[in-house]
Amino acid sequence: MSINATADVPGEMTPERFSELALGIENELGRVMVGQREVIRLVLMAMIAGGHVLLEGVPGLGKTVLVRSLGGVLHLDFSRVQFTPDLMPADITGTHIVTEDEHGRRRFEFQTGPLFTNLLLADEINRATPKTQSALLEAMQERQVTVGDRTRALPDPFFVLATQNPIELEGTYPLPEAQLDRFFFKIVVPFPDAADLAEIARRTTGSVEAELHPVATGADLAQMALLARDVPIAEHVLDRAVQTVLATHPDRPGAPAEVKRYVRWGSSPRGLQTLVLGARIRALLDGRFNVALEDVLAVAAPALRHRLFLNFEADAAGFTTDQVVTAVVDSFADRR
Amino acid sequence: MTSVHQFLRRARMRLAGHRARTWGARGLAAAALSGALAELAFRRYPVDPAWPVLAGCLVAGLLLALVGWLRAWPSFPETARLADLNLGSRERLSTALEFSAVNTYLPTRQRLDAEAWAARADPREVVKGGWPLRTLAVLFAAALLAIGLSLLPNPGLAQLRQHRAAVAAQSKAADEVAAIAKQEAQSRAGEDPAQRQALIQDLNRAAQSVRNAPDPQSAVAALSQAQQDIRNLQDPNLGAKQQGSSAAGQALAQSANPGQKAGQALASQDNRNAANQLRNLASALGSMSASDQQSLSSSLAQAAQAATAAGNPQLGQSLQKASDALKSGDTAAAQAALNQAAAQTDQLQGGEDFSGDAAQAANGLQQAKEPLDQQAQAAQSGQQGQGQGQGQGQGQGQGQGQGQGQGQGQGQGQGQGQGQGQGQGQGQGQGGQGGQGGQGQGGGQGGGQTTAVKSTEKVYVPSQGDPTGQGQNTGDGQGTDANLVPYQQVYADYKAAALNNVDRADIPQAERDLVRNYFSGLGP
Repeated sequence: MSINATADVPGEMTPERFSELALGIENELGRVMVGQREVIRLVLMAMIAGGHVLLEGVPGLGKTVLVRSLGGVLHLDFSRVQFTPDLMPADITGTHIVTEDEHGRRRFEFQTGPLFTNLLLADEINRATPKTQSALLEAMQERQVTVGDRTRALPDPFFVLATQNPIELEGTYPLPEAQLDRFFFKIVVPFPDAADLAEIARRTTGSVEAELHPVATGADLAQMALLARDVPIAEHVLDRAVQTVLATHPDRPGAPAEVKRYVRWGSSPRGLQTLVLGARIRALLDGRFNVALEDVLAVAAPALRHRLFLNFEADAAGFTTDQVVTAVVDSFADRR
Repeated sequence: MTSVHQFLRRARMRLAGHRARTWGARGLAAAALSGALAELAFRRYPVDPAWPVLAGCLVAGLLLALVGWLRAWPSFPETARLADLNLGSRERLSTALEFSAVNTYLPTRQRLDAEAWAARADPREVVKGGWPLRTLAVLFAAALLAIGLSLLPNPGLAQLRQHRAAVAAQSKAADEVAAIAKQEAQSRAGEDPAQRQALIQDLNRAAQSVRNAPDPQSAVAALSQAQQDIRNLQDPNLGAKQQGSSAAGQALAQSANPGQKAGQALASQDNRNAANQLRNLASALGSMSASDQQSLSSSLAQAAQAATAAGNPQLGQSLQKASDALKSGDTAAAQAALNQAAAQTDQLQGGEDFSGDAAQAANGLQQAKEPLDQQAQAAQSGQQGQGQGQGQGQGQGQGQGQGQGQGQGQGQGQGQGQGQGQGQGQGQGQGGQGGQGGQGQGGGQGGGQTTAVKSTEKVYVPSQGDPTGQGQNTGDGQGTDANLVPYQQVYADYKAAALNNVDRADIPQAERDLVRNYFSGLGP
């Protein structure tokens, strides 16, 4: 076999270039984000996959900084919308306003909303009403916005990075299942440890502010996505992903006891797509050319945790979706 | 061939070898387990010979191993997956194998990566673990159990063999009796055909009874019954008749007369010749002179007296009629009387011939009975050998004899032993006349010692026939019952054997004293 196979490189992206770009993005983000390497990697994976991310964490963990920094590093337009209960759909999609031209004639003109950007930070998305949340549905899935009788395409690439606060749930509107399913990953942002906290203090209270340099573009992300989709995955690895998704359904024979007891609805097929695509990207990020079982297992939690819907018994017992995913993954441990 | 394929080929051979060991151990363990189970089953359902079953277990185990191994033959994809799992190659090998025909960019890079990795990997590491120790432990334990069970005595198997030997002995005895019946089917001149028919029926019935008997004891009893029936067919007065005939012949042969030849033949008990001579004499009467007729008449009268006195009054009567007719000159009546005497002599010979055949048949039955006797005794000793406390029975037969010393005793005893296990028996015996030996049987029941269970066993002691054919008439109706072994002799033999064995080192002293006291208490 000849190494001339590199002549067939799809586009200009090679695995080495892929790794180089990813490492550059991570390192650049690491200059402003202290710790949170796993969060950064998962967000990057979701963006390479062209998916949206739901970030969950208490305030002050750097979620907004992360998204804003991504915009700078990737040379993308960035918008931020603070979701509140009185936020209306038109406030994010845009609306028609009456304008007057130089001849004094009035006409309606469409004023684009913050949705018309590359990178949208939907801050505390669960504080908006379902009506406003639903306005994001078309944008997230179809990457277009329909206002009145006209549909407008959103810029390419278009990513939504939404945040929500796991506390202060009073006055919030849980995201509808359909919308949750449209998030590629749901990433739980952990609280930094002591060393990271100290580093945060040093960086943010000093006089020098880190300056970010763009290391990639939206086009790079698109090529990286193309390359990732070509990563080979063995049949039994794909089957493991399928079985993992099936095992989240309580009516399936092979479902673990925790699933049968606590889960109301299992993952949708989008969960499987996320598992496989996330695993492919992770393999490339890890410098490999094939998907390993560990890649599937590694992305199982962020890919599935928001696609599982627990029953009242789970709420009463304090059982979380992360525990369900862990039970599902562990149920395959002795079947290897 | 790529390095991935080379690696997988070597790894697959390693894997196949490992699975051969595993399945071999499993097959042998299965064989040992099934063998042990078979040995356990043989305790309840004995099989003889057992080796085909045990060989079948081994063959089944080896077949299981072979089939299991062939079914577990590792494919390349499976080998690749196991190699990925055990070597930590992160699905490199299985992916490379699966996408070996895809020549796009990333699959090609992946294959190159996998080949580089395979070139560094050791295929021996694909197989985790060595011998299946748990299976081997099961195999070892099951084999020990099977061997132990096969070495331990199997009472059921002994019973089965005894039963088979008994069935074979019964079948052989039945064949022998049937052969005797066939041999005795040829009738002789002068005998009673009904008697011959009865003999054949008795023999055939005996053969059937022996063949269908549930046990050797029953077969022996059936043969004994047949012997008795055959003896009953014999004429009990045959000896006296022969003596009378002989005495008449001696009287007729003493003086010179025309009947001297007939007398000599009668005296020598050559009945067939004597009958012919008597017929010749009758036919010669018409040509005989008057003086010869008178001389013959006188001799016939003496012969008639001798025959009657010696026990053959019928012959005496015929001879007397012939004498009287000659004396009165009635030659025709004399001829008729002499022909009647000749016919009686023929009948006497026929009776003797039949009696001899019957005796021969009875002896044949006795010979057929001996192996059955041995089987019955073996079965008896086998039952007695099972456990303690079966009790000991003693039986004594008392017979009553009549006639000329033929005796047959049957004894049945019942008894319950207390303390020392003695029993009492009651017997019945019958004696007959003639020259046949008697047979006696005795049985008894007894309870032994304080731990003994009441016995239901019967002890049969078959007799030996009198080979001389001469009986003894005790005259007082008391059977000789010589066929039973005297108690003193039995006691002495058993006591000697017990005391010889009781001094073995592995018998506790207290048990030795117990045995000694037991036999002291049994003493006559």
